[in-house]
Amino acid sequence: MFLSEYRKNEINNGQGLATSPSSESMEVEGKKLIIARCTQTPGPKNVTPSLSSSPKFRDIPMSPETTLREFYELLASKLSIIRFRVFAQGREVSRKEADQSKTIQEWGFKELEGIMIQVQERAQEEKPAPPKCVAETWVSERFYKLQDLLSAEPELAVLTSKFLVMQPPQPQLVERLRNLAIPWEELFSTTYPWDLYYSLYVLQSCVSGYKQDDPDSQWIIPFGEKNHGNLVQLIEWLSSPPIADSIDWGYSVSSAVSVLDGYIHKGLKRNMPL
Amino acid sequence: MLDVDTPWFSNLPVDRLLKALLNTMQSHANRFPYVVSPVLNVLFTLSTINAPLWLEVLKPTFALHFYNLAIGCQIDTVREHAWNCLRGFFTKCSHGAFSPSNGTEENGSDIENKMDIDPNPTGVRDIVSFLWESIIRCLIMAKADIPNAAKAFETAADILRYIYLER
Repeated sequence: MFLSEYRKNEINNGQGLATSPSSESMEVEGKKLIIARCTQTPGPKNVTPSLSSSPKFRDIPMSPETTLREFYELLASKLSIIRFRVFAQGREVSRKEADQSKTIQEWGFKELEGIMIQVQERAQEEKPAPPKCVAETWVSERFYKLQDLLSAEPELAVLTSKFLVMQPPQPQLVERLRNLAIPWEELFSTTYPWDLYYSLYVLQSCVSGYKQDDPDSQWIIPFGEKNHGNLVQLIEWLSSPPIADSIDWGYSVSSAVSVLDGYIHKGLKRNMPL
Repeated sequence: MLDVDTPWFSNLPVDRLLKALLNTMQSHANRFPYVVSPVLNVLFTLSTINAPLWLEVLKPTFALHFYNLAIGCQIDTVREHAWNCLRGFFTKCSHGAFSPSNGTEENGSDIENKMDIDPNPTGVRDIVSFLWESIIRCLIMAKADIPNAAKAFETAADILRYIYLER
């Protein structure tokens, strides 16, 4: 997607990729698409990076005082991609926290004239969706009615919850979770335990996907940035009496803590042998 | 000791979260075996944000809470998960506290991709001491629950062997 969009932009501006000596693309790491873009212009340069020559980056305010954190955030907001690594003058632009507040100048870039961005995109985006089985379609078509039952009387809610968690996460709820404009309180009930449990189950499934680098689950990153405070509050609430003494709410504690665990332990080795 | 690349991790409220996790250990972990590993993993990882605060919050009650899970609980899987988590964390801390590079593995640019939030070596050593003390306290209290204490003694023996080999 990024590549095709990028090519479109270049072509619209009358500068096809084939004629651009400063762009190249390559495929590495199996399915992952990496686009390398290096631009080097001769002669004296402004500190404004060459990225700004691309329409996508034209409105990025960049100066020697821009910190590395701001630089990363600007790129992330402009590229609309899942993940990227940035290299300048042969060094990877560090995401180490100690360096995040350094300015571009302090970091040691003379200028940002040579920048290479490695982009990892949704490799599976163009793959056809796997066919759904009849049961999944049946559930999906009736999801909202089933979801209503999660806030019905407890016996019915338990049964509905047990049934739904045997199914793959329902796309309708995943879409609602992805929509950052929907307030947390609308997604995670503190009134109906089984409704909360199902929402957390779906969120937990998506966090598992994110841990396994599933491209469709990368929305979990901005979701966590926005909602980690709410998640902590929810864990606190669930662990406080009298909620903590309730069996019904207890299932949600497990999911909520697993979600937090999934976020903070992504990519970490678990148990080293003694 | 641990490299966590979740950007907001260091903003988590250590004190509040630790208390919530201790409450969860007390109230839920005995009934929901699957909560044990995530609770302990998060609880241990929070030490990397602020080791002194972590120790201050946990010192008074952790050993007792842990004992109730790791020896006092009648569910085998709960005890198993609890000791495995503790052993995993102890090992990571020991690597950080006593290895020549203080646990920093040279791994190219991956290091730069992650936030360096390691507590200082002294802090990690304090954690290692605290963990060992907690284990010993659990073993002493295990007199009352010997049939459930096999995993406890096995893990403690593994750790003790590791410490002697490292010396």
